[in-house]
Amino acid sequence: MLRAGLGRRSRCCGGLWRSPRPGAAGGSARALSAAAASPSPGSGGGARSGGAPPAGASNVKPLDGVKILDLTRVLAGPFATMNLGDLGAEVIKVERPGAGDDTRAWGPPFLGTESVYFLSVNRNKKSIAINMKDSRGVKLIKELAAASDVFVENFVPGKLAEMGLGYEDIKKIAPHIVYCSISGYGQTGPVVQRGGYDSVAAAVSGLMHITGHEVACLTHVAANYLNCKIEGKRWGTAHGSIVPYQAFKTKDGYIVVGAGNDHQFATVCKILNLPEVSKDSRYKTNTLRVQNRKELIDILSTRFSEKATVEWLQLFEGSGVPYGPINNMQQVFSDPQVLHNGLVMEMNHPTAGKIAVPGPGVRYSEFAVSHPKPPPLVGQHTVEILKSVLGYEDDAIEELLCTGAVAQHEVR
Amino acid sequence: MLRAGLGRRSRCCGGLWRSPRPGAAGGSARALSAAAASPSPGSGGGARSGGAPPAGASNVKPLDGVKILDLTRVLAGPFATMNLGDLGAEVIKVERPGAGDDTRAWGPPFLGTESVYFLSVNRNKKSIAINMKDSRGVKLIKELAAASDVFVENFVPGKLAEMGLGYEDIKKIAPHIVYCSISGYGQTGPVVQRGGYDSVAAAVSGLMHITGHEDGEPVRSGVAMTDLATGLYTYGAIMAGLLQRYKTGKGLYIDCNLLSTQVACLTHVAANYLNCKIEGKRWGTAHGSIVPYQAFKTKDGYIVVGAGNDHQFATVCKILNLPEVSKDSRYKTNTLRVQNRKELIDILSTRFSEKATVEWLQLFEGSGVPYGPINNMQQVFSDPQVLEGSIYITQKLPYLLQAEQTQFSQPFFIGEVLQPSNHLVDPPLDLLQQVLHNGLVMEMNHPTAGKIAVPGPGVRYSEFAVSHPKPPPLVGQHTVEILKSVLGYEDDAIEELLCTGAVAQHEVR
Repeated sequence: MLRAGLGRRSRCCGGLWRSPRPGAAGGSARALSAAAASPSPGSGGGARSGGAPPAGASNVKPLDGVKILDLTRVLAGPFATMNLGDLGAEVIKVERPGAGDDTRAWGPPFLGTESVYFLSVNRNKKSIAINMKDSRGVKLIKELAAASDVFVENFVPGKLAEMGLGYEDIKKIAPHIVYCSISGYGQTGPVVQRGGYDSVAAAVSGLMHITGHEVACLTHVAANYLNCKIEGKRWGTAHGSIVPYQAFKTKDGYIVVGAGNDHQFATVCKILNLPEVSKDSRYKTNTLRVQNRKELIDILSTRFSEKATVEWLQLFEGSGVPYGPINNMQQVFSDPQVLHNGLVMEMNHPTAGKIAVPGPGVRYSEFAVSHPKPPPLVGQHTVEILKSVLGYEDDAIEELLCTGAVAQHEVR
Repeated sequence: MLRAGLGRRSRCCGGLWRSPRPGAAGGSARALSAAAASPSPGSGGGARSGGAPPAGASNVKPLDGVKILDLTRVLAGPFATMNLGDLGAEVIKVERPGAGDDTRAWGPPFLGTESVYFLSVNRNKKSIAINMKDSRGVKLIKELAAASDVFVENFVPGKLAEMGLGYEDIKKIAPHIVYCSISGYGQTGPVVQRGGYDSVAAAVSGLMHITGHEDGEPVRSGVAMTDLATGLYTYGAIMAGLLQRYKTGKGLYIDCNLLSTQVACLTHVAANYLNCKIEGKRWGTAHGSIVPYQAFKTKDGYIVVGAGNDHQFATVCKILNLPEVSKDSRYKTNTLRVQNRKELIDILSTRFSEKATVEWLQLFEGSGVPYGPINNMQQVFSDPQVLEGSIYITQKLPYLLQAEQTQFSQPFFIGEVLQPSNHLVDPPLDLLQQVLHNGLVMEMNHPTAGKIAVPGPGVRYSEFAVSHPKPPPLVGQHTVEILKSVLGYEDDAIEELLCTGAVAQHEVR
């Protein structure tokens, strides 16, 4: 386990799992795990709703004791480290003094001084504000790296190496480090000097080409091309090879309905009161429905437009056919299942007040992702980190603050 | 490490990491790791191109020795287990005799008997065909679970429990098990009886509402992003589960579902609603709060261009030769550009439509402004016309060149890119090279489909390579092998299971 409060000791490796817990070794594990197995709470799979730790569980999280030095900004990196923080890791977010992560300014909307964009992906992290143009700042980052398990960054490839903070540099003082780089295109290759932007990456990698209306994560779409030269195309809300499987306009909105097999298709026809369609030989099998897509969809669309979404939802309930409304944000967050799954996470932010963000996507039986800490202000934890992680004394901290190598937010 | 060939032994736990390697314990780790550190090959971060293991590395993979019993079908689950298999895990895919995973039939297109859909997400797995309606089949699954580290499934919640294969059942005989369920909505709650489908989940979770043209109808993303994101969450969660077990010695249960995944991934769009009641809306290819940052129609296609700050905006105006725009006070800051979006975008659109995509790509090269073409599949994976005469290529993929074989003196193919002979500055070529350089096309030989190519893994590591993939299995291709090597069954016992139809073995092994 990583020990907190290392003090001014020699640069020690992160320390995670270097001494495995006694019960985890060899044959004694079986006896120990049998003895330790607590009855699983609740019914079914034992998954918990809401955020409370399961009764009887010790709420030991998988990444307890893991220290992550987080130099990422914007979305991909922060989203990753936020999810790791949910699993118990301590995430130390390194930001430049003053503005910090660019996305703090990405609004409106703002809550207090913080953009909602920033708040949505930065919970459970501590912020240390370090001036990386200052050699003392760079030195600090190296010291923090030596005391961490993970170093993650998303600078343009080569940038950190120029500052002496590349993998080779960090590895020298911290050979145990798991150093992860996030970039637009990769670390080597013809276009690595380009920054990474989601829309551009989506365009270049083929996703944007295949999203949208016909008229105006690639797996099978890519494989179809690689093996059979079948080009990707846009299908609106429909599916290339399953008919019907798309959104239909209702009187007042949209409903997505799918018929994965002929039996489900018959059920759809029944619910829509279209007996002649279910008997029509042109639509008997999926292959035929794909071939005669246009006519069939026209018929179904006309019928769907005759009733309100709510009526259709009631009619499809319990039918076994896949269906669902296209929900806007308000509808998503009033959906009973969404609330049941604990997908709204609330916390108190020191200046923004009470905030709510989407919660974690996975639930575990043995521990809960609960009691989140709010996203930090820039440099909110600078002094705390210098003290507890690096063991700096007050006078050394004072000097760093005065010279501008680091900054501390007035809120702690 | 998990030992292969356990034989007919008592139901033992999976065994992963129960005996940590000697060097990993306590203070000796530092000395050992310093001594063992091999010089990292190549430059920069040490990441490797292509698929060969780094020189000097032992190619130890993170999940070597991990056994995954995979009862998932379709996309989210198979994508997760495929990624775990890339990291060294042994994935045992349980399928029903005959049809197997439904997606084997999801075509055209097919390569031989296998749908390309199935081939694209099932490499590096073994298939055992088990009849789960037969009590002997259910018993076998329990035995396999006891010998595995992970049990992952995507049945409708409750279905497996009815069969005696729910978490509570498996936990009794395998308390170490990391049991992960993937479903549409979760394991408990008002709608859990409904099956999970990507389009429906994308609709219900809000993603479809915010995808599509500003003035148009909702659309779905071109590939099942909700399924794939769920697969990625599952991939991480299973590894978190294994880490958890390493610490506590106990297994656990994991609930992954499409709804939770997609809502969690709404991030700031959801937060805008939750905190400020700002509803989500569609923006086409544009961004709600950065202008410009969208696709523009060119003379012959599209280009995506973004200006993340005022400096980049000035550069865009320069490249587009629109000095009056960059001086216009209405567009001086991002906030102003957002306010005056419509007029600004009209002006930029008009200009972009005047030149071909290739011309714009050349003009934007090296500008520091984010830009890129909207590539179709062919452009993503390389166009032989574009590559002609400029790249040395290795292994053969003749099936890709049925149309082109007459044009070139010898067939060539996509494989590990060595050195370009003349490095063309042409940006589309650079991007194509980057895709190949990143190892994003993975080839392998399939016993009946022949040579196939699928998108490769999304991440590269310095200490090991994801290489030498095994092709997706035929249904029950490894049934006998698994019964023998994992459960230690003798020939007569295997024969009985085959005859009674409890299991099936494909003629190909």
